Amino acid sequence: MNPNEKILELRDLKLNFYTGKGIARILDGVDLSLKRGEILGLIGESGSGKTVTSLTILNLLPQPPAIIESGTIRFGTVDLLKLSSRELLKIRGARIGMIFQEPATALDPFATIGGQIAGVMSLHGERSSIDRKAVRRRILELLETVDMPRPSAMVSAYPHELSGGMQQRAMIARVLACDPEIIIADEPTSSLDVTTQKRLMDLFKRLREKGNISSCLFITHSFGIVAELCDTVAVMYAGRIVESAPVEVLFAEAYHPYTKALMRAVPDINRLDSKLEAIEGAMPSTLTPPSGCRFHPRCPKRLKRCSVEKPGLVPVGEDHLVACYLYEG
Amino acid sequence: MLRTEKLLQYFSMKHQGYKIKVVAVDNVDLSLFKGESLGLVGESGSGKTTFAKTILGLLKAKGGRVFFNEEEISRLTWRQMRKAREKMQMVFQNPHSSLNPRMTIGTIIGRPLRLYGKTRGKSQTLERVKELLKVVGLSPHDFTKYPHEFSGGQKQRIGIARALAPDPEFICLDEPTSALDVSVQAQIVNLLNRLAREFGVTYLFITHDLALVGHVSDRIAVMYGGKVVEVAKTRELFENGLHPYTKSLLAAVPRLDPGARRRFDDAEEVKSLRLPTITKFGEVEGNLGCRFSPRCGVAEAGCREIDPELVEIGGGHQVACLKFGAK
Repeated sequence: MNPNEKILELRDLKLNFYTGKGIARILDGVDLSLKRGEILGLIGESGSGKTVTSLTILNLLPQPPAIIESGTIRFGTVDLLKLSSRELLKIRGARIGMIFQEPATALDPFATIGGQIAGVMSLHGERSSIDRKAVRRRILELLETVDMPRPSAMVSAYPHELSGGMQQRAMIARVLACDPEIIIADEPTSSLDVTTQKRLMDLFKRLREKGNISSCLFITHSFGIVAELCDTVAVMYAGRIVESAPVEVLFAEAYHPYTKALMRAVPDINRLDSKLEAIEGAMPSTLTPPSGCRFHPRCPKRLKRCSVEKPGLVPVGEDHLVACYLYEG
Repeated sequence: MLRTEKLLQYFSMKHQGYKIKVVAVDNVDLSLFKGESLGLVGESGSGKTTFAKTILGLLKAKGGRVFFNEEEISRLTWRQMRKAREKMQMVFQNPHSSLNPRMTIGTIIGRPLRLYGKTRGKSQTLERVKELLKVVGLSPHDFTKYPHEFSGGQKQRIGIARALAPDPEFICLDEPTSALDVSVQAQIVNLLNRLAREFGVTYLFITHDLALVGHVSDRIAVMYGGKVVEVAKTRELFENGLHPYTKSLLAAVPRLDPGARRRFDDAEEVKSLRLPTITKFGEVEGNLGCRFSPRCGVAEAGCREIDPELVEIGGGHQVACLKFGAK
């Protein structure tokens, strides 16, 4: 098995929302690849399209009003966009799992924690649901893996009886139940307090080291989380990936003007004396997006070309890609 | 300028047939000095928003007193508070719900001007509104627009303009940037710092984001479970935070430097953070001692019995912890 093998690859993914006000061009040609065993951080502000990207991978957006206009999502040897719903069902949860931002709404409020995990297992034929003891053992094992306090009591608890951090652990346990090859995590700690977030991040690291998590697409708006957890990072702006690189490389030297500006705008505890640098303007409208590079109206380094045509991702270093005319030919 | 004495706020609720009191602000003594920016940091449930609402009189205190410029305002009637309100203003967390959608922003900003007699007549008011819009970085011609025509960051600027209208001495900002993107947050923060320099406004900046508060505050007060557990100058808190909770907050802030990527065996207090006792409803059982003791990694026997007072340990640095001399 090639260690650099790409286990998931999105190519030129375009998606629109057909709304009453017009066509919102949400994903404008997303190119993203996840290598086997890698934790890829997908970072962007709200409105960048990162959540929509993750939902599109597992076809969780109703079509209509969302329509995938073009592109491919290659998982191993198949194009997920070409699969039937029945074939996708076998992949969703079993081979690609997902954890969401709001555990309170992602967990079934009517089922106990144990019941939900068991449900996922029987859905994917992981364990025979007749062998109750084996199922229960597996559930307890999963709850212990995610450091759930008092696991035996939690099996019969309902989501609303748990705190946010515990709910998130339950969701992680549920996603690990079928041992998926890829886990997509969509801002799993954003709704939590910072100390709870830290405990959950520690859990992620531990699961990674133990091998429970291997390939992961981790969506976040926090550079801090990317720095702590991810191997590589892709920066998204207005429906496109503008830069991607290994984490140390990006932090040492980001190339894209948006990446640079974003990093300077983030408050950092280690740089309290430096001023926060704002980015002028605001996120562009998806209904009437700017022509060419969508960042050009806000870009301090824009060239004439930038408003005419969209730059593609070009390599500027090892594994380092940037979509910007400042670095092209 | 602003001082609270044993401020107490609780909410009575019925819970499974029992009447219980949820104490949100537990006998808090806090002072704010003229011209400073005080950051109030705490996670959800710490009581910081309730505290803000209580000092501004939006909630009536159940106990204790609030002094503004040494005048007691906690016992004033709603009408009497109006006069005080001219000098004390608030900016809210959600820019989308804190502006009246049925008023133009000219009206939204104009109202406090008329109310407090800052301007007389339409044209004078309009002039001042335009000035205020410029001050917060918006176009003066936007006064005819409605809130929904603006982005989140712009709405927050309008909220700030509205708060500035009566020429206040004190502005309380409750998580003013949590609903905003990072790039916009920076714009607002820079605006606030500029306004502080130009107009000498005193701020109470409430947030859960430690990194952010480091960029806007001169002093920081840390709240946990309705009590202030530590107060110190910003630098001092970050370099020398003493309370175990403060330490765990500092350790929990993700660092931007991957070279300093930490393994999960971290500072002692964080590693041995014991998860709170889970009752049926996931709440920590109240105890008579230190609120933080169930989660504290270095708690001792005495901690569960005695509720530590805030004690000054030098240079304006106060801690509420038995380990540092509290009684």
